[in-house]
Order: sequence, then structure tokens, then C-alpha cells
Amino acid sequence: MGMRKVAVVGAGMTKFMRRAQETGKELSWQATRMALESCEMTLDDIEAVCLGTAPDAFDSVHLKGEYLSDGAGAWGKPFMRSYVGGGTGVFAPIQGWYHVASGLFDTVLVVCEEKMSSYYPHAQGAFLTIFDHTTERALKPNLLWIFALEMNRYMQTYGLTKEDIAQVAVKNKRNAADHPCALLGDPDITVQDVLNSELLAWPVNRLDVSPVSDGAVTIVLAAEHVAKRITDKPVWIQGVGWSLDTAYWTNRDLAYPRYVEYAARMAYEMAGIKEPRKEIHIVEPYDPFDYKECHHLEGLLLADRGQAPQLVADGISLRDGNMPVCPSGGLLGVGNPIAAAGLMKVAELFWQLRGEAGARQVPGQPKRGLAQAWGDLMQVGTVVIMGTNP
Amino acid sequence: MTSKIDKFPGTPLREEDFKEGKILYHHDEMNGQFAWDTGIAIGSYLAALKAGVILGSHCRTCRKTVVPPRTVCEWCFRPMDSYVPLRDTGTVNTFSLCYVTWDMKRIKDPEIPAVIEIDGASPLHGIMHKLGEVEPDEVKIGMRVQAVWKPEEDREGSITDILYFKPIKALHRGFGRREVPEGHQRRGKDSGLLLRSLWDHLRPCSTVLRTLHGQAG
Repeated sequence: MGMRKVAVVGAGMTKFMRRAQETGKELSWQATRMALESCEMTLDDIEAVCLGTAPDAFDSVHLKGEYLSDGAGAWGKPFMRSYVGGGTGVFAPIQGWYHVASGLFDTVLVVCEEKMSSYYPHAQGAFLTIFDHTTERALKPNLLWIFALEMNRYMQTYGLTKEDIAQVAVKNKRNAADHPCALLGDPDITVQDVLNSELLAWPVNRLDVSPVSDGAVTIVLAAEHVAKRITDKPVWIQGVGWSLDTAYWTNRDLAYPRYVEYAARMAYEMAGIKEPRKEIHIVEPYDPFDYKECHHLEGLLLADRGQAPQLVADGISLRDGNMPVCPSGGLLGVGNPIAAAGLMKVAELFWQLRGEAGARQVPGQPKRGLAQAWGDLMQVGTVVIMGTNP
Repeated sequence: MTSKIDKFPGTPLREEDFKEGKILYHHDEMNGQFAWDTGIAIGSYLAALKAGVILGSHCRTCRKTVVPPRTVCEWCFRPMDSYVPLRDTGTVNTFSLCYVTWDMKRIKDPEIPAVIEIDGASPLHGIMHKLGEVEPDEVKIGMRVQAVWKPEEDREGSITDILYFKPIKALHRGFGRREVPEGHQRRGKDSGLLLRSLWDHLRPCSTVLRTLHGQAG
């Protein structure tokens, strides 16, 4: 397609915390400094900066892109903030990718930050405005409704039980026990713990949900000729895809995320992938709720419809299984600072594919991984495929 | 890289750190007030609700009937210019039993939000509303429900003119899906009046709609 090859050459992240003392600027700077140090670069080597962060309403800071710009190292450079709701964390690297692939820049920083703890009394309040102001908000909905409604429809359509789905939360929280930045890692958690946790909005219990968090993640992108000078282990972005479904969310099939399928097909085509189940070795799908991981695996065509929970039961999606899913611990385990959580998945693939994930390392020298995020009013899908070959 | 780093940046705080005054913070409140124009399609929807009717719109090209109504068809991008009065009955597509408020305070009797596929709209096309007059453990996906309206004089042209949807009790058990929604007969008697008053509400909207599309075309 006449586009240049783009590699991830460095990554850094802060801890994911329920409440960080650092401001969003400070978190961004910490992650960015770490990412630059990881590939022995300085800000002078960077030509442009892409920033991802969720709605301004989260911390009541208008024009958050500008607010965070010093922490993101954006001063005096072409800088742009992108935002597609929860999908932002995987969209920002796509934006960085086309900055480099187009030939416009050789090196780009992608910074994703979120500070959800500022909203009082609870960050859920920031989400109330996602519903239509006239036809839905008059009913005083809260954010949990929309997930509970979707989860119930998904369970009913395929005859799944809460136990089937709770296994996903258990897997991810156990994986997260090995992540040094994780908020909710727990090596001993069981399905019973999830089922017995506080009921919020049936069928959603407390441990089915990822925690509100603060944190930041940064990656460094470089064009092929630069990447090869910076590192002997670049991880290449092989395919990207994104797609949007109707905003009238009550007018579509809630049991299947077709927008994720459209995004995945775009990325598979770009990466030349014909049989995703054989050619993708690690998957990091977006898992703000445990059923969403299943939902997304099906949309990514990596599981048959209604069969994704079986992957955990069969051990296929465990860290040492045939197709590890969320070996990082995902949002359920590591935490969910919205935009940063999506980019954490991209950073995890970078570390995994370089064999640098430490205790979380997936065995068998994986060669290709896929990260996906999802957001807006449950209708945007963003996908990035990365591999050790250009 | 992560395997070589043992100390990651970030200083976690606890809620107690605020209460005990261990850290400084600045607290502020915002009071935002807004009035949203209803627009053309939703304006018609609200006017119809005031008259006791759920309104959809229909695309002649795609043969889709959607609810709430809108001015443009998402599939073919042509105007959706015919309004269709739908029935005030439907089927529960999905539901939840919600035991918390938005700020995570617990409530004893759950709210029952649901997506309800409205009769007369295309398959899987519904609206979000709440269920009532039903025990939480009796709610099922696929359940038939009917709108419970506010008294006519209290309606103000809002989605809350429907108080909630309640289950329809089948009059002829064992007679398949046959059912007679409550108040159906009474409705039949003054339906002419009802439709006339609905038309009075919609006429101005339709005129605006035609003018708009005329300009666009």
C-alpha cells in the first residue's frame, strides 16, 4: 500500500493505582521517561507526539491534551490528542502508526494517561453523560446498566452461566499476580470468590468488573531504518483496524460485537493473516468486564460464537495454553485507567514478543500478538497486530 | 524490560490519606445546567409520547422501522421521512436487576432496566426503559410487556411519560402468543381522537422535516 514499516522500540508504564498521588502530567512524564530510557533515546530524538486520554469530564480539565502536553513531552512538536472512549488506548498507537507509516515522521511517542480518581464521589458519574440526553438520561441510568444488559443478552443467547464467565476474571486476576504494576492481582482467587462478591447489577458482581484506576503508559514508535539502528529486537506493527457501530445501541445485536469483527478483518488483511486462530500467538482483548473478553474473542474470530468461555475451561487461553489471552492480567487484574489500560496491552505484546515479560512470559517464543480495545457507547473496536517479523 | 525493572513509578494513596489530612488536595464543585433542543425527529417522538404513542420512523429503501425515530437512515444515508406509530407493547430483549446507584450506594429494591423490542419496529430494534409491577425473580428475556403511561394530563413530552413497562398477562392461556393488552378496547373507542391529536402534534415537525430535506436535496 505504499506505507512504511513501523516498529515499537521502547515502552514504559507506571503502576496502576486506585488513587495516585501524582497528577496526570506527572504520571505521563514518568511513563514517557521510562519508555525513552528503555530504548536509550531522548526527547530530542522524537519528531511528534500522540496522546490518548478519556473524556475531559473525568478530571474536569478542559482540553486535557493541552493540559497533559508537558508531561507527554509535546512542547514544540506536532502534537495531537485522540479520543474514542475506551478504545483510545489502542487507537492512539494506530494514530502514531500512520504518522510514521505515511512518511511524515520517523519517530513518534504515543502517550496514554488516565486519572479517574479525581471524580467525586465515584468515577461512574463521569459516564452518565454517555447516554442520550433526551431519550435515555431522563430515566437516570448508570453505567453498570449497559454492561449488565449486554452481559445478560450474551449469556441468554448462548446459554452461558455466571460460572462460565467468572473463570475469565479468575484467570486474569491470577495472571496479574505476576505483574509488578497490577492493582488487583491475586494468585489464589477462585470462581466462588467471584460469584460470592457483592452483587451490583445482576448479572454483574463486583469481581466481574475492572477497578477504577490511575496510571500512564508510553511507547516509542520508529520507522524501519531508524528502528534497526535503535534496537536489534524491534517489534513490528503488522496490521491495524478500527470500526464504529451504530450509536443507537438498543437497535442492534447485543450478543455479538460486529464492529470488533470489522476492525479485526481490516487488521488481518493488512497483516496478511488468513487463519487468525493459528497465526495469532498471544491475544490481549479488552476486558473491562469478564464477559467482554469472551465477547471480543468471538468478534476477533478467535473463538466460535458463544464458545469463548470454553477456552478458559479447556486451558487454551491460560498463560501456558495454546493461545494465551490477557497474559498481562488485563484490565480485570492490572487495572483500568481507560486509555492507559489499552496501551498497556500494546506494551505487554512488546515485552512478550521480545521475551522480556519476566514472570509473565508466555512460553514458546511467541511471534505474533493482537491487542484490542473497545469503547464509546459500546460501539467502537480498535485492533493492533504486532509481530517479530516486519 | 519489565523483567529487569523492579521499581515502577507511582505513589498509591488510600482514602484515609485524605480523611487524615496526610496529603493536600483541592476540592471544587461544578454546577452545569443545560437545555437540549429536541431536534426534529426526537421532537416528534416526544410529542407522540405526550399523546400516548411510541413513534418510529421508516426507511422505504431499506424497509427498516427504527425507534426512536431519526431523520437519516444509517444504512443508505437517505432521509427517513415517514413516521410510523408503533404499538406500546414489546418483548424484553435483555434486562438487569440493579442494586446500586451511580455513586455506588446500595438500594434495597432493585431497579430493573431493560431493552424492550417495540412491536412494529424491525427485529432487535428497541428502546431502553424500566420494568415495573413485576417481581425481580420473575423477569425473563422474551417476556411480553406493555407500557404503563402517566395520566394524560401529567404527560409533558418526555420518555418518562411512560412510567415503566409491565408484563402482559395472556388472557387465553395455551392459545399460543395471543394476548389482549390491557385497556385495548377502551383505546379502540377513542382512537380516532387520539390519532387526530397526535397529528396535530406532528404536523409542524413534518413540515420542518420536509423543508429541511427539500433544502438538502
